[in-house]
Amino acid sequence: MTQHSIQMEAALSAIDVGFCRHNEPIFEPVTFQVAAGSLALVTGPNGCGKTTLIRLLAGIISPSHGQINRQGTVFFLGHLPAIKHELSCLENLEFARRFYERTPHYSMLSPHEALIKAGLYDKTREPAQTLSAGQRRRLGLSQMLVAPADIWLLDEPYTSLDIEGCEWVDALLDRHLSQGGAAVVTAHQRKPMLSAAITEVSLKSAGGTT
Amino acid sequence: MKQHSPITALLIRDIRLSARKGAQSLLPLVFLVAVIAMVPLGIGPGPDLLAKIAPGMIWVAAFLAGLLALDGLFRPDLIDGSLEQWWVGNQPVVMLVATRLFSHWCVSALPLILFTPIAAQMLYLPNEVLSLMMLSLVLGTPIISLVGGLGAALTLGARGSSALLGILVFPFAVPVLIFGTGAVSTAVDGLSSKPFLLLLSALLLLSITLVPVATASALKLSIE
Repeated sequence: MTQHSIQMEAALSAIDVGFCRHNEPIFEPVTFQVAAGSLALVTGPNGCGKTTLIRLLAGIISPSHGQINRQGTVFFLGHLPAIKHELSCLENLEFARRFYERTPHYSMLSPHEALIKAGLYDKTREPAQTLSAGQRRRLGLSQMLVAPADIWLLDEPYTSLDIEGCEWVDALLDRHLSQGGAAVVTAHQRKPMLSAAITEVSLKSAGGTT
Repeated sequence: MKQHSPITALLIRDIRLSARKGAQSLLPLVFLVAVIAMVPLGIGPGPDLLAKIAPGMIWVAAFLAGLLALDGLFRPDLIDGSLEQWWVGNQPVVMLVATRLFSHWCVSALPLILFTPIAAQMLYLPNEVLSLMMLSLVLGTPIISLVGGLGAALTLGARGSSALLGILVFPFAVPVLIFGTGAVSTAVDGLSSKPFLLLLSALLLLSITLVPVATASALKLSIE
């Protein structure tokens, strides 16, 4: 599994990364790397710091120790999908496309195309407020289609999605990896079912609190 | 395809969001109108007295209206996850913060400044000092937005922060009120208002250069 990734440059690497909150380490330091075309699945019990780790990888928070290297552009989707309820689905995606300022790429979809892919085309002009939780998740995920990035960091992407939605996420991930992208995904229920290699990073909470 | 920078994208979206929220965005203006309309009722409609207190009343109302709008500056973005996206990748965070402060000023303070000529009529402010009144507001209200923005960023993580925010920002914003009112009052008395305007300008330049950097750091602490 790791043999062919050695030749390729790691898209994302974490070396002895740890994060302390109020001087308490959240999880035991982790070291791993994600090569282009592969996916790292972060697993662990609730409260072990999966979200913290993925926010560290995204650069939202800085590690207390250790080093994180990113080669390429990053897309991050957290628990909160960064969607404005007052704006329509289309306006939300148009903002995403402009805000993340990506260089045009053949895999880049227009907001309309992304809405079709997400199964939200009939909601194009509706305010995001009227969407269900699953539809909002789909809209959140569509942002990475209009603003393609080399590294996808998805925190619990399957949450509140139906079976069809989960399969859609798997298809997106497969396509992304086959195009030489990299991804880090956290999941505690459903695991991604992909044709590409999956490296599992299991997190252990430090101290045993929460 | 036309390329947009994150900064213009954010600016356009902020203004559009404010338009979408409608009444909520107009709250500072409604507050100002209400205060200005009530002053003659409470104090008495005598033109002499009103003209004397007009600069102070308009400034106090604009000042409090500015504080009123601060809670909505970063909180909605914190709640829906938009704020943490500012730190993903290599976004120019300080510029994004400056953009947000500017769009906030456009929505919360600019309508107040545009309403000032009417407020001035309602309070018998002498016409000669109207332009000065507006100039002092143009120089002063951005300082309130900037300093208030820093306060809003610092209190973002705290619960029930609205009260805390007021207490925190109030002492820092008071000089603006003093210089702003001073500029107009001295002109009403026939003296030069230049020192006050220069002091306001100095404060404005100082806060424009320092506040976005400090606010970006404070926001980073809040999202951790």
